[in-house]
Amino acid sequence: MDNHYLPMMAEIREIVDQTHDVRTLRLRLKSADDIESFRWQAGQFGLFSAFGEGESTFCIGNPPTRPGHIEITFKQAGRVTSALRQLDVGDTIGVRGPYGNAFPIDDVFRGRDVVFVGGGIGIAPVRAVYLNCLDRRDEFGRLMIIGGARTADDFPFLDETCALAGAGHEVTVGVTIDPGRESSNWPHRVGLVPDVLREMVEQASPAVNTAEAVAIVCGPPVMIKFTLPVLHSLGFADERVYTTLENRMKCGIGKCGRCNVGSRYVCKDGPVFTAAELHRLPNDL
Amino acid sequence: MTPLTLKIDRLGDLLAKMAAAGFRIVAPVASAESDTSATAPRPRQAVRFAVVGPQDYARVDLTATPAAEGIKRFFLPQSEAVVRMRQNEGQSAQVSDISPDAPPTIIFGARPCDAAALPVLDRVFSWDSDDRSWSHRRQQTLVITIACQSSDAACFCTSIGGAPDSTAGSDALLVPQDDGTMQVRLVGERGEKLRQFFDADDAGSAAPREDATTGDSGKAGQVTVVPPRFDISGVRSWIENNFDDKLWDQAALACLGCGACTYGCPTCHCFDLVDEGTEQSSLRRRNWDSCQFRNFTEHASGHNPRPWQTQRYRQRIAHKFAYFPERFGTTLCTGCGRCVRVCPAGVSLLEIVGRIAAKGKIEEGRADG
Repeated sequence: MDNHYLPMMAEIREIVDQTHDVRTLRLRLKSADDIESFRWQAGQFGLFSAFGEGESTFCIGNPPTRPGHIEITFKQAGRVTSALRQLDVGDTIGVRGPYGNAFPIDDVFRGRDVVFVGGGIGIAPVRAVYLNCLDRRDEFGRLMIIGGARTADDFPFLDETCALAGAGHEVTVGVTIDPGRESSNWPHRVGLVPDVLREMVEQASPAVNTAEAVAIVCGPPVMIKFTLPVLHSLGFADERVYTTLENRMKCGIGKCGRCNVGSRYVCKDGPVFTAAELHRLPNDL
Repeated sequence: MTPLTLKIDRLGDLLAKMAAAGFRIVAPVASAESDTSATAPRPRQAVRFAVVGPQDYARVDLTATPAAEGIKRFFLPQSEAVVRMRQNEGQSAQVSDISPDAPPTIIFGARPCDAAALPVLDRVFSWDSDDRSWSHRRQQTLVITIACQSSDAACFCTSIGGAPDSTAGSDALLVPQDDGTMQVRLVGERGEKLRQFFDADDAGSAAPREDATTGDSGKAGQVTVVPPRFDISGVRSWIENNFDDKLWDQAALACLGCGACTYGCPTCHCFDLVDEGTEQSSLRRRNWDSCQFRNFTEHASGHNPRPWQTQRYRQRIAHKFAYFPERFGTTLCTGCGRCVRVCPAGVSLLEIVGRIAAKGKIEEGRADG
């Protein structure tokens, strides 16, 4: 029987600073067997360790259509993320995973319009899905990406996100920062994410078929709280509005009891849930 | 089949025989300080399960029902190293597996409420994937349980579907008899491994029983009666339908959030994984944790799904009596009453679930009417 807590070893190949406190690491598993067996889908997560400090849960930030490495993007917040920031290219970190369910791209997304909404560091899991969809562009209807952050300085993947619109992908992109936080040279939108979402969907031409469309929302709890009603009023069905929960986890495999919401294990039944599923859970998020 | 018996004055011989057969023996022992006063009643808190050798056999104390601390730690250790990590200067990091240290073990003198927790926890530790450490310790360990001769006001096994002579989770059950002997009931195939250690009951003092699994205390033996404290039938649905009820505020008002209830609980199993050591050399340990602690669910962002004690207390009760039953089909509680006895603030799960049961009964009545 296997020790599920024994991590695989990965080498840091590349470090990209997204903002002053958000960093992306590109990792390569050291063992050829591990590389072969590590097959993931957009939405799944891993547990990444700084030895001596502990493990943290991050979504796998690159889509399966861009294999060869594992990408994680994290904000420096606690003990492990502070330790991970100290590491250099060539250093080793531990990896467990992939764990959890995934966005049902093949089963649900195909053939539909898809609206992506990411706030702050929450754009990282959403990005894994829109990059996946862009890599398979022909399989979907309209694609619309809305990214938001408090300030321009807190906006991970800002340049990359803006550049997507001009890259021949047939995708609508809107980026916004909170009102009152903009500088005079900010060239993009100013407004709260739910308001920008409403405006972009209502003004879209051709129109987004909201009754059949899929929406993915990830960001701070307060953003999700105010975005879900807007999606609902725009005609999105709760069964096709997805989010990925960020509950604290330890084991990642449905044993340790930490991520539980009601009878659900976020690490096994999630992290991807529909709004309809969230409505059925106790208000414990 | 010949009935088996144990003469309690031969306990030392029995334990020695088991040890000679290669088993590590775990038994309830009175702590040293409680032995200093022979006349004072021994406090319940003094009896704990521990690994015993020949020098300890005389200290084995079978009177506590249940012992202050149960047998959970012999299946889910309070702290257990699971991974070793090393990183020398100029070299890349290495990790190595640490196998669970679990020799063949006999736990002697468990109580039915502690043993009953084992099959309950099997469900969480073996669903989806097997937890190696738990499964290995379960395989390596035989549990000999003693039916309870006494109980107190905190005992409520019978309200959860258990009994003071239940065999759930046990490989053998000892039933104290009027003549001072114990009737031995072996349970299942694993129980048969214990047959070699017991004597045939030649005197026939203990009548063989036809049914050793019903939990019916019957005529034979000196099994205590634990009266029903509440009717559990309406508890789950009341919890599911009353997430925001003010009962939760009232219930948690006195709770200090110390976690003593969870540590004492035979079914509480939430754990933490922590690294101890340095970047160069560290152990990843699995430690007991508690849903009653504020930082249990706190996100790195500072957001906390359960920032208030009311929410954390509700989580504990709802997990045991609604969420776990929904997920795994059984209550995450065996009615041992330890949480009631250990609480330094006098918070009683028994009283609170009793109130929920009464409310559930009323709502059921309304639904029927």
